[in-house]
Amino acid sequence: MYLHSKQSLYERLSDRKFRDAFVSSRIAQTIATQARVLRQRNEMSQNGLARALGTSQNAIYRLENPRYGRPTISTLKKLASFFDVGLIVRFAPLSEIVDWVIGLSERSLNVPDFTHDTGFVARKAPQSTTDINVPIEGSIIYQQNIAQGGSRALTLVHDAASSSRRSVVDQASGTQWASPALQPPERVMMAEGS
Amino acid sequence: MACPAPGGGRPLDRFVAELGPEAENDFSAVLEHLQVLERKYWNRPQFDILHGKKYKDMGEIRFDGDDKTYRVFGYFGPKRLQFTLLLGCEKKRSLKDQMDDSAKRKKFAEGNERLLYVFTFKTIPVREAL
Repeated sequence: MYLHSKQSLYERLSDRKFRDAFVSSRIAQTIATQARVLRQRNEMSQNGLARALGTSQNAIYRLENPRYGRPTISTLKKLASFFDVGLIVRFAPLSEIVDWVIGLSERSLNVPDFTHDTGFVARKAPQSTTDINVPIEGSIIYQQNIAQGGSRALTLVHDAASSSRRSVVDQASGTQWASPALQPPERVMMAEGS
Repeated sequence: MACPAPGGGRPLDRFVAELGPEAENDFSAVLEHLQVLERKYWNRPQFDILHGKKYKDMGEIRFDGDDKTYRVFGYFGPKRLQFTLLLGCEKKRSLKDQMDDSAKRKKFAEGNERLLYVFTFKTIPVREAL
């Protein structure tokens, strides 16, 4: 269920005042919501977080309130470090912000910390051929979840002519590599990223 | 979801269409966030539950803009994971009348589920067109 379409937002954004308000509200609301959700997920009170960051409860209240919040980058960096998440502060084309708004997910606001960041886990490629321990034909030996849904899988295939010869097939692109034994892991990773 | 007026028309769409750019964007940003967050994160300052028997399962979405403060009342339902917008207004001293009107509209919505529609900003007419 989408509140906007890219086209409808594009039309509204042709108005300069609307553009400015669009950017401003997304900054204020997103920072406030993310800060509050991070604190609540960690079952902390505003007071507790204030103590941990060496600031006042009022400062945390203001940070979580889009109406008052004018947090400094330094405060946001402290907060990001405390909750072990990243922080992006940069200028961007409006279209990128529109894409972010339209693709908003729970994860965009309830930001996982480093230890729960599945973005790294899912991308972990086999370290060596000995890691590939799936002797059955058609088995998925490596699966990568792709943003925006769906997944990509590498499947192990036995050569019909020789039981000792195997190859790896990327089902999405149809690309096939020779035996993984001849394929350095980095090559597999590069192919994955392509 | 959103509820039409018992007599027809879409007062919530009209309310949104009359908002200035700051308020409309603030409302939009709050809705975008609430839409993807679990209910346990629906808290102040962007959202609050209405208290009182009359306002069972009802809540208010809070936002600002253009030097005004606004409230949009709604209720959790009719289906699981749905929230139906009932009525929007500018926040002045007391909102008792608007809360009561919302409670009435909730009853109407519960008896006329088929009239509810999916709320989207895509179909909101721009202010100048009103």
